[in-house]
Amino acid sequence: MIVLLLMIFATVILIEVPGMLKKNMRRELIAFFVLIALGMALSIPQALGVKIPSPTKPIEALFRPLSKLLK
Amino acid sequence: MKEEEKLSSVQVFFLALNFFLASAFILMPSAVAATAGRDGWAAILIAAGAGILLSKLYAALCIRFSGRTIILFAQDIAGEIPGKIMGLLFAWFALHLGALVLRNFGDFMVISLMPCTPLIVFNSVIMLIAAMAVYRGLEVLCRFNLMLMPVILVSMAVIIIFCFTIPNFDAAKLLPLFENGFSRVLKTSLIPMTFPFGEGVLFLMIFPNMSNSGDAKKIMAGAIIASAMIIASITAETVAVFGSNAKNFVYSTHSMIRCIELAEIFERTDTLTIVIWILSGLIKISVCLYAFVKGCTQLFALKDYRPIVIPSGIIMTALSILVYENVIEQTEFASKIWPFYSLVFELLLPLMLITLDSVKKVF
Repeated sequence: MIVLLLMIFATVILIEVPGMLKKNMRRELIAFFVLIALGMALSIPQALGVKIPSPTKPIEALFRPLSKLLK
Repeated sequence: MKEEEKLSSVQVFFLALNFFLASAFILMPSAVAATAGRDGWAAILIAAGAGILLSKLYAALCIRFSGRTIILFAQDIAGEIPGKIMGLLFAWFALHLGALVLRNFGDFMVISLMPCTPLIVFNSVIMLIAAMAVYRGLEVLCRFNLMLMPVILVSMAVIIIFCFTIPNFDAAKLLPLFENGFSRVLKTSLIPMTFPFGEGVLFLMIFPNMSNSGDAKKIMAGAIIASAMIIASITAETVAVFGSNAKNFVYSTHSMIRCIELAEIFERTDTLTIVIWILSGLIKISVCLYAFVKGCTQLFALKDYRPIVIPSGIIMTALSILVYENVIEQTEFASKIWPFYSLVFELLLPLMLITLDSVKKVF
């Protein structure tokens, strides 16, 4: 699973980066790597079986008081 | 920047129609049945009215700032830093919505079709296609949608007509109307108002690409009315078939379609639900992905959005797996938290922008 995931990331980088380097798109390159890093941070722990806190939880805590209106 | 893609009004109309219908067709009947009981269809029609008002707000924003998306005009109105924060919030909404739709999509496939296949298989396959569609550009997405639309609409029409032939079908089960009071129906209408009609806020990213953006109001209103009629009729039918049990199904539309048996030759029409689910879910996910990618491009002043499509798709897929632990949590979130949480982005943010701008114009 983890090998497959890393292979996917490697392929995506191999496909996208050369074109951006050729066209000298620095901002795009930075944005690309930031997003890829975020994607890695979210997916690799999941592949290893580590639990990441879900963003749903804080949202739920924040809006729970209002939800009583729908009862 | 590459040459702007221009969309015709018809293309945007069908994109919006499909966007509103996508997951609501399957999920809405159970979602409204939980609180409104047998009056769910009325809640959907009321919500459509509210949805039209919301889309008027979006169209007004779009006409006032023709040619710019919400990310750009938020910075014009509120200043650079607050505008960027609003833009980030908006991009997050697109990402989160996309992840939730993707999760719904995968959950449905796992629960009703292939219980032994892991969720990630469905999510990543559909995301691959959605990313491909977005990568090719908005115009391709719209044409693709136009190609799928006849299949989806015909399947829905077949389903809606054939449900009348189910032996259990009895329109009297819809009576008495409003037995728990009208206020309950009004409260419930908040659910369909925020999902799917209010989600049209993502079209603020697409309106600027229309060749005639003055049509935005008409298009959104038309799409909301058409989709509300379809969703309300399917909701009424689930109640007519299952009675007050309709709220006990996770996917009551699907369970109802399974009951269709016409003259012993027309059976197993539930494949049609899956066709609808895959095709329109795909378009909805693509629109969310497009809104997120385009939003990021404009937030960080990139020249081209194509390089960040695939990383965004990966983030969305990873997020879709971790948002919920199970379907129960999803139904809970969708019916109790989502109506209020999404209202922040669907009503508060646009309303704040338009008031700020009007105040600025006065002084």
